[in-house]
Amino acid sequence: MLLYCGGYSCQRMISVSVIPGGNPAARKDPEHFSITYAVCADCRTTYCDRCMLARPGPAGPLGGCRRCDGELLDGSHRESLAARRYPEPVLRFNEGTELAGEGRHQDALAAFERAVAGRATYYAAHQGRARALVRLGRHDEADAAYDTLLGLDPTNVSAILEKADGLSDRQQLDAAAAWFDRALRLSPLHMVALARLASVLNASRRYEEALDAARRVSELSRDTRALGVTAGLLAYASNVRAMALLNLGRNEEALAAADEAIESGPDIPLHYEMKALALERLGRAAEADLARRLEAEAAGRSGR
Amino acid sequence: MLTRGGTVKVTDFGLARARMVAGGPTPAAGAAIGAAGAVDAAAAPAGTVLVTYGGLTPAYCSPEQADAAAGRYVRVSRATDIWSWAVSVLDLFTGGPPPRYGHLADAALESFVGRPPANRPRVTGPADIPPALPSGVADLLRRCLARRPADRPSRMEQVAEELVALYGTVVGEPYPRERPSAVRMLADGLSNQALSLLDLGRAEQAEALWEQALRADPRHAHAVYNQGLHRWRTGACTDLQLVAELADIRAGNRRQHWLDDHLLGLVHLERGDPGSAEPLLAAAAARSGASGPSGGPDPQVARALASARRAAPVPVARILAGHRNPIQAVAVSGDGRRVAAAAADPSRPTGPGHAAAEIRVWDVDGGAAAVPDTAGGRCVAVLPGHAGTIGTIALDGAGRVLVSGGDDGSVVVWDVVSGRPLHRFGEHSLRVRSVAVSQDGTTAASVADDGALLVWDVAGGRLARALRRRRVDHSHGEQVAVSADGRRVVHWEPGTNRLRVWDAAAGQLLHSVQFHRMTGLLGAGGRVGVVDGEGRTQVWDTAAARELRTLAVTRRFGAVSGDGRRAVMSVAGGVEVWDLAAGRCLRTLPGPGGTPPGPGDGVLALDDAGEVAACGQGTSVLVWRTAGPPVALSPWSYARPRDAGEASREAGAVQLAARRGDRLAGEGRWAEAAGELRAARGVAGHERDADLLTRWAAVGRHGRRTGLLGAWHLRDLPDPPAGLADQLGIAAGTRSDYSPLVAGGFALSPDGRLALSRQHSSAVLVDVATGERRHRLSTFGPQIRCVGFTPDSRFALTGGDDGSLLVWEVESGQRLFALDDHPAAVEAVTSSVDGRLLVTGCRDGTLKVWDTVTRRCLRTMRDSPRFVTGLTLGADARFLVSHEFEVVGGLERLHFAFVWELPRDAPPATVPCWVTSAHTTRVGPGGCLGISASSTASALRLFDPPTGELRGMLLCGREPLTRIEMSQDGQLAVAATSAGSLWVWDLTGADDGGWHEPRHRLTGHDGAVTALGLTADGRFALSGGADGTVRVWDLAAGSCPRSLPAHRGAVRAVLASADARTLLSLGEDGRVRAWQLDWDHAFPAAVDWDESARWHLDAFLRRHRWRGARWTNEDVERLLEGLRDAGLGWIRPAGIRAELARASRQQQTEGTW
Repeated sequence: MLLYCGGYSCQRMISVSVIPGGNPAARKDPEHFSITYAVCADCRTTYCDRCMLARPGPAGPLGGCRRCDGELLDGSHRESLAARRYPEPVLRFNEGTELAGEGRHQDALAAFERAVAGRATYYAAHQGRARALVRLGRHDEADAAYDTLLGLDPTNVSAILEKADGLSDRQQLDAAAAWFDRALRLSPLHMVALARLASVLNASRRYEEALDAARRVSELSRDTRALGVTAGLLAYASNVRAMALLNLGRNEEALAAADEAIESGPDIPLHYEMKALALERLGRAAEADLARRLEAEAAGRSGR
Repeated sequence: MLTRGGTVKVTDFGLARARMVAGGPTPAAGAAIGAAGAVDAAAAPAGTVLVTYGGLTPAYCSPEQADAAAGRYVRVSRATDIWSWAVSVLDLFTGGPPPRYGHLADAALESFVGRPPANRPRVTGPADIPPALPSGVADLLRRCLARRPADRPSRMEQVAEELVALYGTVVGEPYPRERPSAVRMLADGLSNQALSLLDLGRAEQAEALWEQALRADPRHAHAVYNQGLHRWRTGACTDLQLVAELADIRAGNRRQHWLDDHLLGLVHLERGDPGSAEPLLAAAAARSGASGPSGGPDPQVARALASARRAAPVPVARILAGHRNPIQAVAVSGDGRRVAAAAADPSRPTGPGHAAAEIRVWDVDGGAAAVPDTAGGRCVAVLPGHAGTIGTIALDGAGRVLVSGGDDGSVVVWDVVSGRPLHRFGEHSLRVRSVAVSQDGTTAASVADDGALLVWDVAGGRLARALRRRRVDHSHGEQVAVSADGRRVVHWEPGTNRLRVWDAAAGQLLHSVQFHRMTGLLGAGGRVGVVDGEGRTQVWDTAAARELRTLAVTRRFGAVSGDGRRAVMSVAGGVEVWDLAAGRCLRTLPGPGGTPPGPGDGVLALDDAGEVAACGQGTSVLVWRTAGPPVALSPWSYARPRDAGEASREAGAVQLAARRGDRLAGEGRWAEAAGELRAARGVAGHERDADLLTRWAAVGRHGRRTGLLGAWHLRDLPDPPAGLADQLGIAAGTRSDYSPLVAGGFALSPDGRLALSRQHSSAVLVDVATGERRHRLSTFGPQIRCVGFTPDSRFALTGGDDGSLLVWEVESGQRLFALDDHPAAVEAVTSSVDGRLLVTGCRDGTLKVWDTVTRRCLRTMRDSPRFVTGLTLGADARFLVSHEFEVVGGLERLHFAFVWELPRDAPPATVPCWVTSAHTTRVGPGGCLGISASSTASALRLFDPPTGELRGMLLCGREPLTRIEMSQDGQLAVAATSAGSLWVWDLTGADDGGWHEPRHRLTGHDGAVTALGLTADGRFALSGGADGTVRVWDLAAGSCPRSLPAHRGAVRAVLASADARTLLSLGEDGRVRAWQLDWDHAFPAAVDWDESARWHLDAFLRRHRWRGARWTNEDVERLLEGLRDAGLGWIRPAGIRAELARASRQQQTEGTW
């Protein structure tokens, strides 16, 4: 049986086996599988050995659960925990999550608030509350909620990213960059944070820095420990690189970067637009026309 | 329209709309209206005011219609019809033409009324002199011609009532005619009306009418056929689905009617299978001749039969043999004359003497029909192949050049004629996923797991261009195609869901189409791409990057023809051939000898025109000629038009019979009431009328169930229980034929109204009648392990892995309370027949008995730490059977059934059993006898429940028993086997140690019986099998009156409501299907008491005795309901109450209370 790890952005799986010493295939691949693990006595979230040990939580190594601040137990207790009652805040958090999934954000907010009222250190409930507030358009309250959460758990990369995204959406670019930077200090191989930082830097006219950040995404994504690497993210980073290069007037390189973005996919009109721009600046009008047509087709199909 | 029979039919010919649609003249907005708002009659065709145009007839139009015609926004309502009617009546009295402008009729009326009679217009003859306009009628007309629509009478009924009253006043005698009533359309009329709407292009309305027809009569042959034919022709279902539906109707009808054979025969004709159609149509011809007035066969049947006899037989699949390893890839040349197949990796042989990986090419010159049916016949080349597995091959247009790709990364170009490799390309570093070659064989392309998309110059033997060098996401399902002239390469990129078109020479991307969550398939030559997902299938023209058409179905086609007109898909029932242009499945081609080719996992290929299909299955290639003759559309089926008078009389008779039935039922004259209802149901079109069925079932509760009148599919329900594939859902103890998590996670309310299924941390309540989700019962955390209902159907029960049993109100979906004093997960729950007791079973072997009134735990029991998988509580709540197993030595298991005597604080009797199931042990009422599957699993073991002591064995052949059941009265046992048979035993005296013969050995299921239940009266059994059927068995007659084709794959559970009218089946296919059973009944004379009800009373008294509680009126009502379920509803309630009081007194007197 395989379990997910509840650590921040952790992509490792937890292998649970009746074979003494663990599943041999999982033992051979420690980069992707953990044999030993911890389980939260309250919300039942499981954590791989690295997240359990190497990434201290707010309560320190082997401290409380990073989601609900419950007690962490050795994974061998997982089955016996099934018979234990869920604490009320956990039930309300789960209710909030279910309601949010149904798009009932106002009701979800109320459920998350009940969870937080029941346990002030319920980190995931604070985050759920902040997300619900964002969905409801109550951005100032959402910011405050994120601040509360990060006051309790300053290492919550996911919350930092969400806060930074919110700032970026509201064009508070310097502040957003600072928060993305903070996320990267906590999790240097967090590719989503790095790609977003590149984008914010480009929008802030800090082209060289943007270029450097986007290039690092391409380089670091080959590291098997890199987090959040997908074709879409690589395309995003390549496109940011193309934009920065265009802004710097390095059109040949921009064309190559735009091609990379297009090849990684999915089809986004902006990628073709960057290619067309690069080709136009290079004086390759016929190819630019073709790229413009593809941009128009992609825009038409995406309803833009 | 008035028919000869006096029927008035109200119709709207839609002429105004038709004229508008046809482009006839319409008044320009504003232009045709005179100063007073008058419609300019000159604008009408031919200058007449009597011709409808532009949505109105000027001579009869209302002021608001005239306003609308003038371009003003006016809402036209029914009041307009009242105005127009009044204009018509005015015409009758004036005896002349209508006023020129209908919307000025109010003025015309006043002018007419105010004119002296002498000056009124006269017509030619005295007989035509119009009568004088009575003042009452004039007043009525005046109101009808009020300029404000709101001031007119609101309904025509109101006008009619006033006219009837006026008639009496004016004529001096009552109006002589009865007021007619509208005839309610039955399934016949609805089906015919649906066809009319289909003619008018209103397919959605037609569908709705067929649905309505099927609600009126779920087994209405015309409606099932017409709706099915329409759905088949529009791609919403396949030919085999329609065949199955009609075959089910045909099998389920008690009286065989030639129409059933005729309609099924017509479907076979349209699907190009005259061999199946002919015997059906011949039978229909013979029967229609015998029943028809002329003595000859029905002309339509005769025509169809002649057509079947003329038609060419269904194409037979031919087998291309020779490979010894499983085939991995097939290809058909563009001209359809050659077929190639590549076999699997020889390092994984499937049998002795396996050959090396190789490609075989066969000449199928002249099409599939010319292929010799012999292994290796006409094989023109054997290409020795690659070092490893060949995963993909392609042929050029003439089948002379073949390109293959291997999992070693090599791409090889072959000269088929010489059998030699022309080129071997090694640029790919990983497995080649897809290869393609142009029609002329000059350009090839390949895509591999290394991410490279390469174009090859075949003539030059070199790499022409790399269109892509690397890729991030996965490549499973990646495909490539080369256009006929080799200038374009088309690529389906599954990682990003993109269909991409490249200029092969320039290496430029020409088009890129982004999809979402879809799978793609390219036709040979890449002219079309077919993508499916999200409930639809799209066909794309790749050259123009334009969507050609969309099918409202999702089909995972295995191959699409080069021209994009045909596609094929391998399914369990054969190979479906689809006409993509028409958007429909043409037919499903069977395998050799008419049998399906096997599980639907073969690899497929089509030629350019889609006329030759090849399917690699196992070590053979099946080849069909898919084209066949053009599809001859079978005619729609019209029910005989019924005269409205006749229909009205019949409807009246049915209503009268129903009312009489109600009255007789109210008087407790059940047999007579049933007679009336039987007569009503005998009227054509009313056999399965929903109201009559409800009445019939209500009356039937006062009789004995004697037979099955019919059974039909009601609907499929959403939300099958989660974990169908998870089996036990714990680390140990999984079996394919039984899963407590599935069996315990799925329930039907005893009243048959609601289904409940577990979904991890919630359970979903679904309304069986409508299929709608009523409530989600969510725990927001703890996983639900079992579900159930209380006997009164008012409360749902869920057991969780946190050791709580939650009680929910089904009406509101609210959680009422929790019984949560369990030490481990609640794995099973059952209730006493009166709902006063609940028994829960835990994962650690703990059992708890709860009083639902006080919510107190009455007793806690535990023998050892075993996993409780199922509980059965007898009617007297005295004996509880707990099915348990324990894990021994890791994965090994021991299974037990424990028999607990609840009122006694004693260790249980233990019954070892070797079948993991909650259906291996049962105990009769009063604990007189127990039955269990024996340790040899092929005999029924009889035991003494309090001690577990063996009292006899009933041998049931050699096959292991899979399920056993005992009738509620303990008189009868049924044992089902893995061979599909049911052994029916009389238990009276069966434990005397002697040899006994079964009452019946019933066969029918093909494979194991996987679900079994009995009706409350013990007269019928309901079973599900590994063959996917649900069967109803008459245990008295020893027959199977009905077999329902329910599921693909095994039936996992069959649940019945207490009255056995509603049935739910759960299949391995993940479907939950609801069925309705229509029972026949006999009605013994009502009596005050009958000893056959004795054990029910005894059980009732025992239940209350051990609980130490007095019974309430509600308890007695529940007892009466139970007696009706058990076919004892003919005993008068008063008599039962009296006997209950007497028996209670006697027990108290005797000290047994």
